[in-house]
Amino acid sequence: MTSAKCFISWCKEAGRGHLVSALGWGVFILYGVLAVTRLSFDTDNTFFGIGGPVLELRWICMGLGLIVAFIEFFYLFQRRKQDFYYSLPVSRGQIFWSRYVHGLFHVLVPLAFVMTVCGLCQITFDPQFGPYAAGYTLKSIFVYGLSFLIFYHIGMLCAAVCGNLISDLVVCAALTVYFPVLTGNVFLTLSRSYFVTYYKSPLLELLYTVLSPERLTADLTGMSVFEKPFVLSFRPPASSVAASVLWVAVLFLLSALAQRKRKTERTGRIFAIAAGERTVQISASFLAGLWVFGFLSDLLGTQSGNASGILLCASGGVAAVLLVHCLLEYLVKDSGGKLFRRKWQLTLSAGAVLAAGLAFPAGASAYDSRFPEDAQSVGISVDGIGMDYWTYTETAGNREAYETLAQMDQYCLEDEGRAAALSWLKEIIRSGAAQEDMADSGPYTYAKVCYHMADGSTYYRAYPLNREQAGMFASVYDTDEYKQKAYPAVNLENVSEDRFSWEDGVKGIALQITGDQKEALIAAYRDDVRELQMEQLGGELPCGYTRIKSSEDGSSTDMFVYPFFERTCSLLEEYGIDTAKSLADYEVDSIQVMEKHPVSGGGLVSGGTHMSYYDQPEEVAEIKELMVPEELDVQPLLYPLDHSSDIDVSVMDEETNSVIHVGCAKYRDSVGE
Amino acid sequence: MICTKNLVKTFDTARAVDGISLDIPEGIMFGLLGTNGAGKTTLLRLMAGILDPDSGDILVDGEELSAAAEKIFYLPDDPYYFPNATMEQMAEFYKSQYPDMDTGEAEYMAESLNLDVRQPLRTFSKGMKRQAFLILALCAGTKYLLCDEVFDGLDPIASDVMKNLFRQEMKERRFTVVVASHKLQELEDVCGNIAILHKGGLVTAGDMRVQAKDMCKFQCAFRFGDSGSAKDAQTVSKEMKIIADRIEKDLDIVRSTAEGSFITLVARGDKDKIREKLLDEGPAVLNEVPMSLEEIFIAELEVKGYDIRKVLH
Repeated sequence: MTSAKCFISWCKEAGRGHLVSALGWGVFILYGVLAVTRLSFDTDNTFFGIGGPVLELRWICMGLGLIVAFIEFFYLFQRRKQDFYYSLPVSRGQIFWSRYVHGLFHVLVPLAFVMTVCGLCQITFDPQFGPYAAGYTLKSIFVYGLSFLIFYHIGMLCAAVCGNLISDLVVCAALTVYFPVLTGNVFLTLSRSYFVTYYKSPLLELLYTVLSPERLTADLTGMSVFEKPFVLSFRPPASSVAASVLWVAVLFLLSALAQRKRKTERTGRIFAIAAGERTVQISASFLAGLWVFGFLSDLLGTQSGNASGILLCASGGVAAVLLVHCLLEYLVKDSGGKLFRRKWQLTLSAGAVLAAGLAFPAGASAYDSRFPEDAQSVGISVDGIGMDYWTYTETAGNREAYETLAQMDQYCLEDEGRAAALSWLKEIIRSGAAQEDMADSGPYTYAKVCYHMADGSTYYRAYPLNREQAGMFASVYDTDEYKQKAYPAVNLENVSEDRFSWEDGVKGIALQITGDQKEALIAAYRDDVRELQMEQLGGELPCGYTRIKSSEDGSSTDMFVYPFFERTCSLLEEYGIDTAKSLADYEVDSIQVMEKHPVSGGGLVSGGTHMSYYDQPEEVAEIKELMVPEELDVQPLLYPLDHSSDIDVSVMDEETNSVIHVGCAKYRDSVGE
Repeated sequence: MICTKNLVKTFDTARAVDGISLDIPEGIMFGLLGTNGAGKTTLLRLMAGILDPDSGDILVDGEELSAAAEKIFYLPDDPYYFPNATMEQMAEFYKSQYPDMDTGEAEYMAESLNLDVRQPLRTFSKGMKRQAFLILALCAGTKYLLCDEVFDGLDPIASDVMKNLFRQEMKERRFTVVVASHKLQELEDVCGNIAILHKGGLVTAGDMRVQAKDMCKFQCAFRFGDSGSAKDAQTVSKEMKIIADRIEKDLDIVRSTAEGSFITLVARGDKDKIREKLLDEGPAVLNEVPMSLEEIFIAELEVKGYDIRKVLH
């Protein structure tokens, strides 16, 4: 073997066009220059490696992974070039792997180089960065290198399996989005369609992250972290690192196998390997079938649970399998080949769709009735309890999960609250028949629950509740544990230095009281909350709240005060606060009411809103009695208000001679006024 | 020697090479002849290691093909070269792959054919490219050179130049050239041995002149009736048929054609005995005619029962 035929010489030979090296070095040097320039202006919100703001580097690494793989292995799609290389006295493996190493070298080396230079530059600009410099730089090289490797190996596998550029691009795109579609769309739709109590599945979410190359890179590179201390000390999740390594390892092994099995004569065809062709056919037809199964289930809604609905969904799924299978067969078969030559494969795909799709209705009962009695703690969020109206409308429509998750975290019950919650939930599950009552009118509200198990696992459920079941939630609400979480002000201690202010939904007044008076107020509030019962919340709205701003960390805690909190109200009166003062007691200048109603007809039409403006003293005096500041609407389920109009009340502030605009809702009794 | 044993290569359902067993001796130019789709290129690509056979073996000097890859240079009909590469650069590349590559010789040969080794190959005409790559192939110093349709599309002068290059190189060193072509004329004056392929199978192979050494071709003309009075065509035809039957009965006739009072026949056997027998029939004219390679082929193939029009153009 001549020296030029050794592996390293073939690596050099792979770079004959210098395209990959120009691309790798060029892109990273350009990125480095821009990153250093940005860092020279701002080191608090700008980063060169890990962190949410560094979106472009992640896309560069993912894009380079695919592009470099295409360039390096493009010879596999060119018959002339392939004949030329394969006729030389060198093994095919050496040509393939030398190109692999060449691609790696010309991306990973400039990445490491540019990251190091950026790190060194930031040390000179930013003294805070010093202690983190080595760790942050190395972690950045690691996570972005790993992000590149995932996509590079995807590109390599697709090039090895496919016979031409178009099929390569299509399969590459399909591989990138396949699992996210399966886990984040198809399985999710099926779960929502058949599991009445489905809220979310940590397993499905984990699969969605680890099986989605794009999400995985986002997780690795800390795309959700923006604050400097968190960015600099960010450590990629172990599960994501493990998943990334597994992706790379599996793709590498499959590429090695595909490279060996690849048939030279199939260059130019859609697939260069028969096994690859079959795998893609099975996978695509399975996804299409299950997607249609899920789509029909979603379309049929509650009907999807009965036998005819299931039969329709299953038939649709099988039809989609057949269609996609035949379409792919038509594309890949020889001119004389039969469309149904792979009957067993078609049967397998259809069987897999039926098995996977039918598993959902079959397992629905077990899923919905599952009750983890031995849960260590229970996180509960009941839609409409302890949240403002707008959050309620969003959580009730499942459009917003953030507030619900925050509440589940806040109302995580471990002691007496847990026992009461489990008892209440058990009753709800047991009286599943009550759901039949909801068939017509729909559920009154939902209780979203997170069971935390001893082994660290979590189960989420969303139980539909009727009015009676919601009322039974009082057994949980009335526990001290729950109330401590619902009224966090009762846990405050050493508040003498904190700043207290009274807010009645219109104006804020600073409480000029001593430290002892503050402590006394908290103690009174604690007693009032202890005696609070949930049913009382349906009778009255808060008259206002005391905002307590911590002197230690500046955090604010709101202490909502109801008129029946006698001890608290009495003390507040003593401190000069008129807790009985409502919006009606203020001098209202005018009231603007905007009502919205749907307009029929498509295209641009006028109408749909009606604006009423009240500024006559008599009108104002009459209407303002019906108004409640939206800030006080904190129990929309227990004390519902009318939000059908956007109401803006202009209140004259005599002290500052200004107008205060207050967003309001109407008392329910006033509907139709 | 390149030796193929029961070589089979199937593309989907089509058998491009169907059980070919062939011995290509050393030091000769060996021709692979066949129509389009006969399997010539596939056989060459198999021998070059580009394709893997479905079954069968290829041995080069008794070694597995993968172990003897350095001994083989494959020259396709449309050779690949790096973008913007010159002949000099390609020679340098080949030198890194073939240890015996003689770049100086390549430059010398190129100059003698007025090829600029520093000019990008993409600017060369088709004939110039062929010549350039043939020079590179000849100078690679490999023991075996596999050429696919190397003379196809060339004008007669360029074709002659290339054939001379082969001859010249073969005079200087002992190496083997396998040339695939669909035209017999391109091969007959350079190839000693020729294999004919048809529909992926081997029809015949070997040195046709040796195989045809006991074959000879005669042309006879007969005169019927008295001098000055010609017989009518029907009578002549009848009498020629009688003569032809008689000859066929007594001789090992490979091929015969009768036209008017002329008979052209190819017969196997002792030349003198054949002449004697023909003289017995009393021909007015009897000439022995030299056989072209094509005629030998045609004769051989017809003996083997092939329809010649389907096998050769």
